[in-house]
Amino acid sequence: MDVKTATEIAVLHHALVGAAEEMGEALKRSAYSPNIKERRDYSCALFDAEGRLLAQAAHLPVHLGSMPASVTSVLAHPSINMKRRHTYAIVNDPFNGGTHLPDLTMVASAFSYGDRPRLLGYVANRAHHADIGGAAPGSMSPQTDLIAEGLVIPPTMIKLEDDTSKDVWELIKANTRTPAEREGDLWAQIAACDRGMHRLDEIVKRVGQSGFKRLCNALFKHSATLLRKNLQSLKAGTYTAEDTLDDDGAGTMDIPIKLELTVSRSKITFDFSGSSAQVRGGVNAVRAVTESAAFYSVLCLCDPKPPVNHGCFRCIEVITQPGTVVDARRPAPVAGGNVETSQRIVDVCFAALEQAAPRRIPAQSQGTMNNLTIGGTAPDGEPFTYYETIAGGCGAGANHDGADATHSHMTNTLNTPVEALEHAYPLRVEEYSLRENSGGDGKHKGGNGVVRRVRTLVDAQFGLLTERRIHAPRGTGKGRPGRPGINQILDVQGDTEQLDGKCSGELRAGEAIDIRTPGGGGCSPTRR
Amino acid sequence: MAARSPVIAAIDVGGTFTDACVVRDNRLLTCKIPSTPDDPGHAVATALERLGGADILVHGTTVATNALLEGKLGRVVFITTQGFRDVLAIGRQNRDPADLYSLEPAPRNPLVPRELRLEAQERMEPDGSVARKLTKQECVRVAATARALKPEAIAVCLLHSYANPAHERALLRELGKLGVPVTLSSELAPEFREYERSLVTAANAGLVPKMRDYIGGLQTRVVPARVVLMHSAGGWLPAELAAQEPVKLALSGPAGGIAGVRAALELEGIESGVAFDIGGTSTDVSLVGKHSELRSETPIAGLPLRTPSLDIHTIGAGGGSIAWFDAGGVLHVGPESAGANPGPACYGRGGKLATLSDALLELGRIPRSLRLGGELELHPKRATEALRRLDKSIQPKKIAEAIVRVALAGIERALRRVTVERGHKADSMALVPFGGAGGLLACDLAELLGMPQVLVPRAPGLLCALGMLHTPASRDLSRTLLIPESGNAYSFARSQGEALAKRAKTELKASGIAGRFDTHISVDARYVGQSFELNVPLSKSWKREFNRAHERQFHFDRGDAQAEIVNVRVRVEARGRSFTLPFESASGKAIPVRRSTGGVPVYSRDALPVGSWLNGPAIVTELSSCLYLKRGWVLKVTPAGQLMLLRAN
Repeated sequence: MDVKTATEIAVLHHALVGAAEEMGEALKRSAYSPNIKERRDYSCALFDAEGRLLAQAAHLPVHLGSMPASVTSVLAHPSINMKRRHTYAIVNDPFNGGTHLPDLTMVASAFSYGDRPRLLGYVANRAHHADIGGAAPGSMSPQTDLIAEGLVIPPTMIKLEDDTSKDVWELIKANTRTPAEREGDLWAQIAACDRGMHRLDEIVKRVGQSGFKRLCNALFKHSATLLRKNLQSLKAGTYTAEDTLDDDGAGTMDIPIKLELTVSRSKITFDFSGSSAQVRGGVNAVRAVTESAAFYSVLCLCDPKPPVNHGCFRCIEVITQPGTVVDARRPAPVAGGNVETSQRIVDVCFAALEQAAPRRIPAQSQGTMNNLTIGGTAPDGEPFTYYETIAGGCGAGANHDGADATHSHMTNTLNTPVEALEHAYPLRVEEYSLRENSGGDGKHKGGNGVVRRVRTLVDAQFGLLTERRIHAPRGTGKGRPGRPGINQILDVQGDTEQLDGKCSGELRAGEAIDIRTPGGGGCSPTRR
Repeated sequence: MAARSPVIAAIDVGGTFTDACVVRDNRLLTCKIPSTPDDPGHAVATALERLGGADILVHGTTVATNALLEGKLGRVVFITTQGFRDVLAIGRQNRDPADLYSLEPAPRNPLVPRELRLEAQERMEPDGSVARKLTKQECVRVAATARALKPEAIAVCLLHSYANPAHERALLRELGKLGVPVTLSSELAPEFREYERSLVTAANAGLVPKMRDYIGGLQTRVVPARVVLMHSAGGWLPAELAAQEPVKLALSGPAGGIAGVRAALELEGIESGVAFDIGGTSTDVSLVGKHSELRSETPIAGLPLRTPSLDIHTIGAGGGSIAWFDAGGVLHVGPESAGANPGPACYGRGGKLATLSDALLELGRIPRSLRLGGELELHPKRATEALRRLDKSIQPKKIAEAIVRVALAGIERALRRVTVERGHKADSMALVPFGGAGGLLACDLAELLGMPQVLVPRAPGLLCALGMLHTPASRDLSRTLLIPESGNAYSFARSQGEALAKRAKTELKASGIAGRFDTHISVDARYVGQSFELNVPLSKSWKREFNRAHERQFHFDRGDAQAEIVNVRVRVEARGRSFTLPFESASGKAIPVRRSTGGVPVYSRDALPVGSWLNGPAIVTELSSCLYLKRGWVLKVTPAGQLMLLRAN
């Protein structure tokens, strides 16, 4: 590579990542709901005119491979013409560009500004909305079909100046428990797209349209080169691994996820063909989620990290069989695929990669996001929906203890401060502490999980979508496993009732939900 | 004393140099001496002596910052509500975004280890009513347990204490008997969000022992001068208050620079600008003037400290940033830095790796004969060798150009973050470089950002200290109210704000600050259900102001929706004297002292008379600072003695 190109690529990469971050800042600052502002459950990305990922400000790894899938679906949709200016499309259909229903993705075409507008590429962002309808508040409780999980939006065009778009807007608002918040958040997503379009135009203007195309290709090639160099540090060969989900909350236990991993000098192939058929409960993952998990596991092994763009994906192949728990088909419920199954897929990927990269992979982390929803009516008559995910222990590695109370792998959302939560909802947090001795023992100890006990002051409904309540996070070498999680109800008398990993039900005023999240596995390296 | 106004000296201690200045008899005296990191007060006392002493010494210090960065805090016992002793260890439960794809996410720094974190049996409701009373016996028990742990300081942060401090005060009555300093969260930062409040309280307590000794020791050394300290929000605090609330000094030094930039902009009648300081390992940028805002959080060492500060954004790129090619052949600059030792190759201290400074020297933007800080000699040959080592097949000059271009891209991103990303257009702003190297890249960055002008203040290498001369005493206090918009929301917030203002004035007066005070009361407001607040001045029409601010920032408002007041904020500022720094203009014509190797004329700043013009390319040098005027730019010396750079066309 000549020094000019070496410079231009670095400059372009800075500009593109800066643009994606700028979109994220616009989204965060203008969004309405705590879930986006306080917990930062969103991602932003830019694409070229062929729909190839240029750069992504990935706040959550689970969005890594699934944002490109949204753009692909929108571009392929017969009734949407993205090759016109000011076209925005929205989608959450898990089987057509989405992942699970609360994640609404906005895609917009980006044109050059000026006399002769030309298509430059696309911008997109995804945000987790706190409620998108369905049977239970928060749209994240265990269900047995997709329709019960919430409103399904196939790729749908929105033209802001158009009346029919207003109808789409109203349709979405009419199908959620918190319409004003949804509208505010959707406007924020549009504002973020607009920011991205302007930036892309400025970036292309600096290098010219043909220069931009040439540099994008060089950028992809560079990422692919760096990724391949990283692959060469792995032991080539074919490896197998398997792990299981506890259950689907609808009667199916021990759901296997199987992987055959093939590493060569130029390519890495994840074949999940042997995995379980899709199940009745909502732990089915769509293919985009599985891809995200595989990409994530490879990126973790890279040092230095290649810039994340289309070029990285060229060397990573993911094979799935339609109708399985890692590539679900309509009408499978999928709420937990994104948040729970994705974590198990990561565990399986690392179990296989461990054989290709001995001693580099830490023990298993908590392997769940511990989704908790409580909804009801506050004393003032207003309905409320509280949703959050709870951290746990991280796995220990050959040279380090696992971190305590930290979100691992596919998520990184923040907690809701107790003082904010108690102010907003008729709930009281009685304990928020480290779960002592829950991390697995070893030369290096697994991180401890968390105890979070929430008492309700009013009658309410709750939903739990949690994993690793039966099968503990494994240790590595002779390291001990972390302790599995526990969910229970504490009634007014102080008696406890154990709950399943996935369940929903009623809480009477004065009762508390007590969640103890899993610890990470320990690590005691064995000699090789 | 009463007959004349007090002589004020300002001394800023940086990692390498201690900068000092004083205005006496209408003359500005400055001095720059090497810092004494093992005993920073030594250099301060020396500098003050050289300047001939003063009545008041405004001091910018990195002692608090470094203690936080290096984790050298005192032994703190932390006391909280039963059930919450691990709040500091859990944090906000996320991993550092830089660790998103890391196999070994860095463990969180809880500041206080678990065995020193205690729980008290008590509980407040969010509205401040008592759910479980804190008994006298419990206070005694907790104090006894704390004593047994032999703390150097104690931090108390009880749940919902911002709404009712009674229980924290009850604990203080017992803890006060232990003879160690106690920080109450309800005194220091009575704002909701328990992790952030706990953290800032613990950090403050951990700093108190060290800072009390430092400030006390310095005061003794510089008598009869009275020591006051720059705080992060851009004012100064009397020594007594600073020693109680040292966490507020976390951005003490940079705050002086921002004050200097503000003064520089005001002299030219420019409303808004971006301050820009390139150091050896990092670069600070900050929006100054009309659109600037205080931020309520100061991030230091990855810790979100809940204390108001100027909005300074720091990135890890500076003159010492090392250039390297990755395995795919793409050029990077940083984040690894050669630091001050060995420093860039051109320092001649054994550094072999090419840095941004080496590239600037190679390109002739820094004259080869320049002596850094008037002392350190540069070694151009070493720079060329280092660049050649990077890639033998490419001309060193070409690599140098590439390094500068890549470094600019990173800094441009930081500048965009504080301007356009916050919704402010850059096309009427001025870029204000200061520090030693800011002027070397200012023209390029202004071009990239679309800024029409660059303003170089006088003595940019001393700006932090100069800025402190312009800064008044000020005290920022706040409290969480969390009250809905309703008939008496305004009057309640007003009465709470006035109570805070009264406290601030009493405290300032008790420390000997005389004269009149300006009081600003504002509120952080949001629509009910939001979790992000906007700050608006408190008036009867605060709701309308808030709607307008929301529309301006976020392009929509919900005038019909219920709003709430989250926090009330007060700034009490001593009314200062406004003055311009005296200076003498050179006379005659601007004549280059020599030409650089590239044929670019080099001027000495001291010899540029007011009103003179230069055309780029040109280099302007002065003690400890250097400016590169690009081709396509013109420079004029303003009547205030500052350099205004404009794009020619």
